[in-house]
Amino acid sequence: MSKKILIVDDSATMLMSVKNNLEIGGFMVETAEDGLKALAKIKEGFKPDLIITDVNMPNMGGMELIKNVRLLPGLRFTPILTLTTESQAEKRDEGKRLGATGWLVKPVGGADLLKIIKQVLPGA
Amino acid sequence: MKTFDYRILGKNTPPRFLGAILDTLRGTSSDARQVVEKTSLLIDNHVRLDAAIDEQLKAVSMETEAAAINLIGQVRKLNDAAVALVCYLDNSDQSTQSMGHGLKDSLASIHLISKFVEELPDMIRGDVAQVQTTALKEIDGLNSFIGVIKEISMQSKLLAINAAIEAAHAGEAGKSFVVLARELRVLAERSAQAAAMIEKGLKTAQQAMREGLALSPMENHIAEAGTIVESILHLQVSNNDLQQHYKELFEVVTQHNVSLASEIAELLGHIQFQDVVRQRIERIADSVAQRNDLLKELPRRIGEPKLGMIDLETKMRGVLDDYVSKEERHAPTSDAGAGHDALPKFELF
Repeated sequence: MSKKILIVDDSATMLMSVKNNLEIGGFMVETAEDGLKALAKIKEGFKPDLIITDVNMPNMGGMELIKNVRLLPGLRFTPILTLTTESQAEKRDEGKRLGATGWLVKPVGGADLLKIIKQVLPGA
Repeated sequence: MKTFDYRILGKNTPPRFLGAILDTLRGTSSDARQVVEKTSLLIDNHVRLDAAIDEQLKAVSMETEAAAINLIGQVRKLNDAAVALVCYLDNSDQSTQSMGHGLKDSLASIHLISKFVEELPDMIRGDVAQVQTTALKEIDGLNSFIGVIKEISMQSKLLAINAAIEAAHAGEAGKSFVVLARELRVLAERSAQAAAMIEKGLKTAQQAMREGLALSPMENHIAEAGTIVESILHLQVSNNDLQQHYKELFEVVTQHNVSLASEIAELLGHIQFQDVVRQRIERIADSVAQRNDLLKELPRRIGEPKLGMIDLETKMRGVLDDYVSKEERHAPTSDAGAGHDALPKFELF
């Protein structure tokens, strides 16, 4: 059965490009435009195997989303990758401290993205 | 992507335009008023120009986003079409293989039937010859019985004649014996007739056995069966060729499809630059807006004591520092042509 991935980004281009890339790669993909909508989707019953989130978003950013997801039952160990234009060490450290699994800087080539996902999602 | 190195601005470089204004203000007061008026007009036009540029930049962001999404949709269709083609070829290949298996099975059955048909005449000939020999032997056996019947008939006839002679000698006493002698003669004649009839029947049967069991010509049927087998063999060879052709086609198309999928994935990655550029434009627009807010204060601050200008200069430097800092936070990573000290593009914790 296909692994489920939740992509969170306020850019329609990012959502569409990553969603299509992952769907072609064989994954089932859901999208949300910010952290709040992502949390709502999870609370509605969507249980992702992996979350890929932007950092700077309106309403709720990626860092706050990671913090909230880690508090949800069953999602404590779900891999979360940040996909952002932020490249500095301070932000990466903050993400790591909050529970992110990895840090990816935009833009990420489709093949590279699939390779990284296979690393954090064994058997995918 | 090449980016502007904001470090070259340096933190101690004085804002040139503010210095120039301060230099001018060292002149006469009427000149100063004129400078303030002109500066005010200049700033007003500058801000309006920036607003117009900002509007265009927002439009660029929206238009490139729409174009990117459209491009993603087209690319997805391209991928779906390529996948559909591979599926079609896969199905065709499977159908051909299934047809090949069917032909192979049919051919095996036809081979068996053909072999049977081929052997059938010999089998029939053998069986018929055996039946014929047995029947002729039996008929020959019956012929000896005819001899016996004829002999019995002959002896009965003689017996009847003797009986009739003896009855005549016996006179009155032999009258009933005459009847017996007559019946004996009739029996002898009928036995002779029966023997003749049986003999004739057996001869006819022998003749029929020898002449009537000639086999119908089966060679034509055997040749037809052979032709059918040959046609099916040709069909199988053609099918094998077709299978091979599909296999090669499938391999080539699959190879192209894998490479196409890889190119599509990379293309989808490159499309992400639209978001990177949009964010850069937004950061520029934000800093420009902050700068323009300060510039709008400039005419008012020129008339104020020197402290007001210094405060403005500090704020302007703050805008610059903030912009430079933001750009540094979004600096390219090692994979995008940055220096050796840049952080990696991907990092798993």
